[in-house]
Amino acid sequence: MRVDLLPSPVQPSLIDATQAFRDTEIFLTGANGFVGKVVLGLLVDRFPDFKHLHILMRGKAGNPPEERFQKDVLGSPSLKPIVERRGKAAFLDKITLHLGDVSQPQFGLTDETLASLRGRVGILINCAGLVEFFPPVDESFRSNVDGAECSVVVAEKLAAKLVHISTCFVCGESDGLVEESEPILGYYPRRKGPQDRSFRFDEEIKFIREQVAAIRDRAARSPRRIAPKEIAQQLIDLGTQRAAQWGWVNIYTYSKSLGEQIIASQPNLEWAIVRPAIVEAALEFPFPGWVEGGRTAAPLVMMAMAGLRHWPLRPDAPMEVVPVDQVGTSILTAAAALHQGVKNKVYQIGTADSNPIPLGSIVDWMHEEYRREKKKWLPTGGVKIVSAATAKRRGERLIARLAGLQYLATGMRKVAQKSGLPGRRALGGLATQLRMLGLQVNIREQTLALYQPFMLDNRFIFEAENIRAAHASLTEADRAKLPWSPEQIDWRRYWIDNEVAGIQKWVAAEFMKGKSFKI
Amino acid sequence: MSATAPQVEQLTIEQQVMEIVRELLLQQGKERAAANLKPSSSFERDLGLASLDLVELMVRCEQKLELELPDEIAEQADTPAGWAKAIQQGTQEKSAESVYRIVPPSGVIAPEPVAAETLVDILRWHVEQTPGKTHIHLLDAGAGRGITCSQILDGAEAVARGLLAQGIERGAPVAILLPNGEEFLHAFFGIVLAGAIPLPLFPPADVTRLTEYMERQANLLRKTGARFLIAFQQVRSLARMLRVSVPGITGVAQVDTLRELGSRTQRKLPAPHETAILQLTSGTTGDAKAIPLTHANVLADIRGIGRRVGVNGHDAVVSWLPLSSDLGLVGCWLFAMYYGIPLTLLSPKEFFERPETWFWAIHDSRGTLSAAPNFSYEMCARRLPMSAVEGVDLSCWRMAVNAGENVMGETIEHFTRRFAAIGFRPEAMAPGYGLAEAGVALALSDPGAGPWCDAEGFYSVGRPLEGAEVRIYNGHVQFRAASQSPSVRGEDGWTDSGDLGYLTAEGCLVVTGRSKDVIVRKGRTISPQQVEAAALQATGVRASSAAAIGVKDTSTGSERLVVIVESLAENSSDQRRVGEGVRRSVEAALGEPPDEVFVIPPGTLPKTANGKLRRGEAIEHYRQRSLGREGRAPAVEMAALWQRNFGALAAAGIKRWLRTATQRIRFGAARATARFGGWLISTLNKPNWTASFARTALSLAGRRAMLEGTLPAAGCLVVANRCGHPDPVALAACLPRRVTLAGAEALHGVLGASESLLHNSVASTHAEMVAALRRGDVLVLFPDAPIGVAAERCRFRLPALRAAQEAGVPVVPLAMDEFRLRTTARVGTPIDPGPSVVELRNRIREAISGLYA
Repeated sequence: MRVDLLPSPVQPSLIDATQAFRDTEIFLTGANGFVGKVVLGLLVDRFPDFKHLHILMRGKAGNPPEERFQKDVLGSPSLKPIVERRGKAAFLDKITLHLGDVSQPQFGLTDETLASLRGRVGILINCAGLVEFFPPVDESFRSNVDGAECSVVVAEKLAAKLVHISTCFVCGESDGLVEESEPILGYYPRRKGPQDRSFRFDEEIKFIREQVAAIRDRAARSPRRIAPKEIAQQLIDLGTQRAAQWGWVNIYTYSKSLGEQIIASQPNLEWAIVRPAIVEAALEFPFPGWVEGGRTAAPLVMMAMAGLRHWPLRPDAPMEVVPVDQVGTSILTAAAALHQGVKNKVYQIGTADSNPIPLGSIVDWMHEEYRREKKKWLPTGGVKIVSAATAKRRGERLIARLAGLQYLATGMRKVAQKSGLPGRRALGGLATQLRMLGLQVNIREQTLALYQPFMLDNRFIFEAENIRAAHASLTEADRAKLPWSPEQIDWRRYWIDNEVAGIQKWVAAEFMKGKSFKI
Repeated sequence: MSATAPQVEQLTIEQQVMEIVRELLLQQGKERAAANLKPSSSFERDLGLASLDLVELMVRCEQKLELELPDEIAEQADTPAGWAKAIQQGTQEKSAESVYRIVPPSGVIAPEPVAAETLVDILRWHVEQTPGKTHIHLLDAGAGRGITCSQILDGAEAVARGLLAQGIERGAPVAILLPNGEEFLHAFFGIVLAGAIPLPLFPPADVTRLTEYMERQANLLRKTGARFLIAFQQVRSLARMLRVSVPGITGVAQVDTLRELGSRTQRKLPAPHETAILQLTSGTTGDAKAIPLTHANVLADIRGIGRRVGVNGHDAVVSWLPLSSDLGLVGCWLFAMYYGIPLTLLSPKEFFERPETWFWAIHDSRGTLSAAPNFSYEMCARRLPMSAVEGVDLSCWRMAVNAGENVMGETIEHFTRRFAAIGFRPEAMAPGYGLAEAGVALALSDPGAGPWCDAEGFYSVGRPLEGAEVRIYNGHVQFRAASQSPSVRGEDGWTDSGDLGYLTAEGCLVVTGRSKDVIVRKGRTISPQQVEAAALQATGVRASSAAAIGVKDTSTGSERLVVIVESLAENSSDQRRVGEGVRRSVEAALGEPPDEVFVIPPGTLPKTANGKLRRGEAIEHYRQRSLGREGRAPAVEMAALWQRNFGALAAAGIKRWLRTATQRIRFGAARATARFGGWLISTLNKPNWTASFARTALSLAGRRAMLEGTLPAAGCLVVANRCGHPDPVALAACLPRRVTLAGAEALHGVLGASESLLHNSVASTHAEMVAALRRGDVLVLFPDAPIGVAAERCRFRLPALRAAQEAGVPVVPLAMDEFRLRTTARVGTPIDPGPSVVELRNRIREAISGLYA
């Protein structure tokens, strides 16, 4: 069926994932994340005779890890059907929970624990990370840099190989194809070639740590009480400035790239780095449309499904989306390949390489769906692609108008109150509503600005050759268990049935509590 | 009650501001304006206050109200009421601002670029050796940021590309009219990288004398033969006028615009003996001259200074001097860059408005080296309230270089005594001497030696630097140095500095005055410095604002001693009193009175951008009887300039408009031809018309295309790089028939519809590509990356390469090259697609870059 697989003249030895997971124990971090849960689910569901799984769980006071695991992980909608299908008893005794945190030295595990696991655990899969674009820089570093540093230490102590989950967007600013073969060490987005050695990750990390300490120190010594919010803002500014200086679009990708460079600099470690693009709703596993968290394209989907028509984006640029189950299967494929000796490879998990979806089509589809859902038969015009400046101007105008109306309503209410006329309660309600609406528009504008690097300023196409090759060298049985088939995705169907429906079902309710994009 | 409290406060602030404005107006003799002063009066329109007056006003407000005002206040508000409001808001918001923190030097000295021969070598060396290290802390209006050498190199490369695209010849002078800031750094090295010579001009300091300023700049540009001018946004109209009044200038642009005009061409880097900078002299005696300094000159001078200073790992330079002055450019910036010392850079405007920023910058960055002319030390000693520098610690300042002007004992004593309380060490004061003709510095005191003066109060400026020799010839200071500009070298190798002085027994130089400034009255030589020092003693004279000039007296053939002082005195009786004081004071010093004493209003004595006295200009003012004449309002000055240049500007505008219009018409026609051609070929199914249509379209756009080598007629994958926007049309002009394009996304939006000339269909997925190749089509793949990326870094997408493998067709590399509007497509030897696509891609890249050679 697959037209793009060439029977290579020299058949390399096939990778047997089933055997690999039967042979060795796996250590998994970030198991309660969106991707981590899918990896866990795939392992339990598709490789039921896996040897043993160690899971790192963060502890909270008065909340033992076992309870959290049962409730948050196994009890989550994604794993429920699998637990029901397989039965808890089948795998629960093959799972050991460890209390710890990726950002603590050796994950907060004792030397005895590590010594007892040494030689048994063959693969450490690090799914933990903080996927927030502009957090205070030290928070981002804790998960993404310290996490990488500690997982290197743990992998060494366990004598295990490391599968590290990063992101494709570590490439930073880009206009076009991003190659997998780009050297990791010394990389920064504005690098002028391999001979350019301006960027040294260790110095950079040192610099940020010093600056963070200085900011905290200054705050502590300041005679004036400095609000935590102000310190956080300084830390965000620090990260944003520094990331932008080298060409990264946000603090998240900057810290992730530093994490990668830590791993790539280890001479004795065998590693694989898996870089998913934008992880979105599941194609089929655990069930079509499973999605969690509002980090990635969810705000855009919600804005579109609230009827936003004017989009500041490049219609021809592809949206680098990849379904979460394809990410999960790729991680396990990379892990199996690493176990069998395919080491120090970068796997970019993107789809635009072989089957791009233009951003313009996505917003068109969503607008059609919005009209269909809302039963809007009257022709009001379709999606309009506008420049960033126009979008901003429109937003500002709308905010100004709302403010004007609010002012008017407040004024009328005051008049009504003074003169004892009726209707002051209705007017008060109206003013409050207008104020809320203004806030919502503001949030919408901020969100669009946040996504501008991905929709307008840059164009990303991630080469995904290594995962294709690795997948092709899986055994026939494993290929069915760990599918990788971006070419075969019908994007329109996927986007409406899986993505939009999934977000509306699993994310929207949670997300809409605080803010709304309806206008 | 609580609601009314801020109201009361605002009223009082407003009243205070009004009071300060009234005081200023009265001092300037604008009684009528003062009488009509209202909270809503416009400073500029109603009160006739120019921007310098606003600065004065700002300083006064700050002193009186004890707070710091943002610089933008003058732009944001134009009335006393507006200021009061802004002041109130400012004091409220100040606390929330995040502060830029300067990291003090680590103590580790950066490796010295001993092998460097040019300025470019220095920059490259530090980019290579200490990447990511902050080179400059740029402080501006309370905000700050760090700049690394790599950032300067990046920006400079972009500017260089822009300049090359503008057709700047090698060795052409390019004027820079920019204030201290990142743009200056980029422009300066951009010009050097483009093989041209930077000529830094002083930005206009006094808007009330714009016509004079413009005349001087135009003269200078004409004399130096400048070809291009890089200016900043605020002076773009002035820059345009300069362009039309100086025929040699072919273009004026801002740094941002230049950055965007990329081109790929590289130019040979400058050699050590070539001119690196056209350095302006400060123009104290006459018009400023541009002195050519070679790379070797500049490097020799920097190394000389470095040896004398004894650079160590804890050193940090702080400078507020304009980068357009020799001391600011070579003495501070390039010196700091060479030794890898962090430089904290302020703007002169900031310093003049708030001298304490200099001290704070030294304090914050633990600055050890900072240079400034004498008057600035005087200004700090006189004007700086101790409350503004409370908490400052100057004990780190190991060399306070006092150079560029005559060193005055009074100043040194006053400064040292006053600031000892905040840690200033007396031995830190280090007089120095130099001139643009000798790089910048010629002699400098030894660190820690402390100042020394002779019985007459003339200060020693230290021994000559290493590599420099000084001799006294007929009382004149002459020098010979590795940093000596070749343009001023005399026949015997010595250059006369124009200064008078003598050498002490220890070999230290003592400068006693400028020979041109020396006044010879009835056979007696009088040093103007001595007279000025005496005049400044008199009460009512503003700091550093006295000039002693000698004016030829035709009746006696001798010179008349004229003393001009600035004073705040308003009415004539006060002025007379000040004049009398000056007369007495000079008489006491000289033993005989001056011939004439003028007391003029503040700000009217001609000075350079560095704040140094321009005696030549003062003599000129005396002759024209325009001493003390206040400048015209900025609007009037602007109007005069416009009136003078209107014709030339209009002509240039029409010419430019015509040129763009013709170009637009031609490009429009080209695009229409390409589009119509594509449609016609598809409709009539005449694939062999492609080339003629494409050629017509190209020639309409003034371009040509040619093919070197032959392409296989069918069944191959052609992989080409991109060199310019018309590549696809150029390729169509070379091919016998239309092709299939592998993935059109990379071309989308670049060419609009015209790419349909090149191809008749697009294969976007792998399967479609395989099918097209199996059908026997020629499949063309362009890189998925911006235009202008070097061939060895072109990003080709792999599905097309995999399709070639699968269909078993050859891959033909094609190098597109553009030169003088002609696009050449060179065909390489077909490559057999092996088993690995990644390897295939590397081979294709190699083949394409090979075709360039």
